[in-house]
Amino acid sequence: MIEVKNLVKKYGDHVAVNDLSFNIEKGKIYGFLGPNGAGKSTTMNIITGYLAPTSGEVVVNGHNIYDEPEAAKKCIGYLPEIPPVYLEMTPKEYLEFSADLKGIKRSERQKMIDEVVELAGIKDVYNRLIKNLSKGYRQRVGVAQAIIGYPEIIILDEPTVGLDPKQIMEMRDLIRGLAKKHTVILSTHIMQEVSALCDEVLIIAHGELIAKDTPDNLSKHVSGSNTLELMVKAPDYKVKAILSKVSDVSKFEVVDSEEDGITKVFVSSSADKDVRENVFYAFATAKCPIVSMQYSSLSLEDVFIKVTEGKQTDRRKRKEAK
Amino acid sequence: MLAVYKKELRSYFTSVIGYLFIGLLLLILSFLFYNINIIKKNAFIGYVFEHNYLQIVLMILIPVMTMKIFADERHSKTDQMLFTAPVKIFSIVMGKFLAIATMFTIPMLVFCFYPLVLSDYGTIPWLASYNSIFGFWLMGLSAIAIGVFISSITENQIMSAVVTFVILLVSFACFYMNTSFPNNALASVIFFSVIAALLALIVFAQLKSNVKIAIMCSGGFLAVCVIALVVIYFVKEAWLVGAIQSFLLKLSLYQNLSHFCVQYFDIVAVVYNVSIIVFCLFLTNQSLEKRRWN
Repeated sequence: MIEVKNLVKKYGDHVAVNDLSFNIEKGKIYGFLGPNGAGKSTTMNIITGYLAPTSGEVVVNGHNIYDEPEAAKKCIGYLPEIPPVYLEMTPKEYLEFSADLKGIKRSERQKMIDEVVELAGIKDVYNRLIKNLSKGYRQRVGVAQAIIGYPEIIILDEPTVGLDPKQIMEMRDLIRGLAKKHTVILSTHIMQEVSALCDEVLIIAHGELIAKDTPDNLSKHVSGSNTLELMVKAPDYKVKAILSKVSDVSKFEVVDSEEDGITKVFVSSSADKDVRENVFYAFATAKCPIVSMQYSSLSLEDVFIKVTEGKQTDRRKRKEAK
Repeated sequence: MLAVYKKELRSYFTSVIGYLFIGLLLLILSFLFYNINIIKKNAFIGYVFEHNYLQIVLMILIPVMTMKIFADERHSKTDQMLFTAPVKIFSIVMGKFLAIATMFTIPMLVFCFYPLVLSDYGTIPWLASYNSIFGFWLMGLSAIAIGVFISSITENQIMSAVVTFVILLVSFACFYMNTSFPNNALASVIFFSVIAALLALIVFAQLKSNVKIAIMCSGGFLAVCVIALVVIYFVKEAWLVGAIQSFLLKLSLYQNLSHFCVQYFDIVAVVYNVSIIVFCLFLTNQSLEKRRWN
């Protein structure tokens, strides 16, 4: 469906996208995951033909975006990061313009606009000026614009940013609905969004593809080893003594806690072992109550910092070796 | 193309700016018509277009019309919708240009009725009258094309308006101030050397990412120009006499209009204006295209 080969985009000396290659197959929801400035939007802008790559190529449905831009663009509906809406228009005028621009026949136009308005849930605001709409509604008008004409591929750049929790849920439902008929690519920097929506995830950092996998496999990739966060009502030397005797614990680290008489400790174990039971009984026999115990979640940003730092040191080493 | 054209036209009529443009243009045209043709009893309507008031009003109105045409799209990121839609960039450019051209054509069509008013009072040079209206219309379209191009190179509307205004002002000044330059050959050498130096500066600014090449290109260009000028000065001095004046007149949109206003049809001026329009629209297309590669 979409083939991206060795994509490179440079802004002066800054490399925004570095040798990116991947394939997008029909009928799935794809998620581009990465921290801000990772090159997600740039990649999307190149796929949709808004920007031209420094080198590499994009083929959409067999049409190269450089050689046959019109044919390639016809297959894609795009919602950029900032919804490209004209503030002085009403959604009605805007969608009519958008339909005209995409070359939709006059006879089908009204029917299609009605359907799209229904799908995006903007019936209430259909005749109000976009200027007066909230961010959430503007986003939906942008989505309506992207899906009008029913292109095979729909690309949404951070569709849920700036929405309130209820709107986020609605947007996710909308995207799930779209995926029944279309291939959807969306970008986000929120981990839960990916696991809630996507069939496949592409992690991008520093313009490079770090991983392409299903969300389930990915969360293993992200967590690496299990880390438990414990709060124990005991002095730290006692905690250390107890933990050192528990089997399967590979590492632990005691940190200062804000509460008096409570010790906070991070306990690591290898990924396939569950040490919670052992830890509980160990403290129970020592009569040290565990106040709380939970898996500490590494935020995506932390993971990225780790992953990208690793990459950079790799690169430095390679340079030195040369 | 039609979609963009319709959208732009509608946007002029949903805001006050379209009505203001047509209204002001008709107001100044009517005022001058009344003064020149009615009060002073001239049969030829072309004198209206030669009047400085009209030029100055046009110089302000055209940048106001063209300033937002691409700059605003870029500023509000709506260009992402236009340039990812399955249409050629050039048809977007054409749609936008034609929309402003239509806005300018409306008052001109209205003005076409004005000579009829005079027909009761004597013989009217019909052909010359409509010829001069045609000449003014062409000049206006050229100014619009320049404005469209300037709008495409910036994302700041005010900047776009000011630069377009300055260009039109310089073009206007070229027509009226060329006689204040000396017309001897030495002055020409100095004048064109300064222009060559300015061009070299622009070349340098464009290539400054690589200082060595930039200095070589701009320096080489400047050296060739100056040497050529000096050689011409010693070999064929007559070529340089009055060269500043003819050069400045070539830069002026109004020089060509004035041909229409002295009652004859000037095919050279038509070609000149059409070339400006085509060239500016081509440059607009290129600047939008280039933006994708930055």
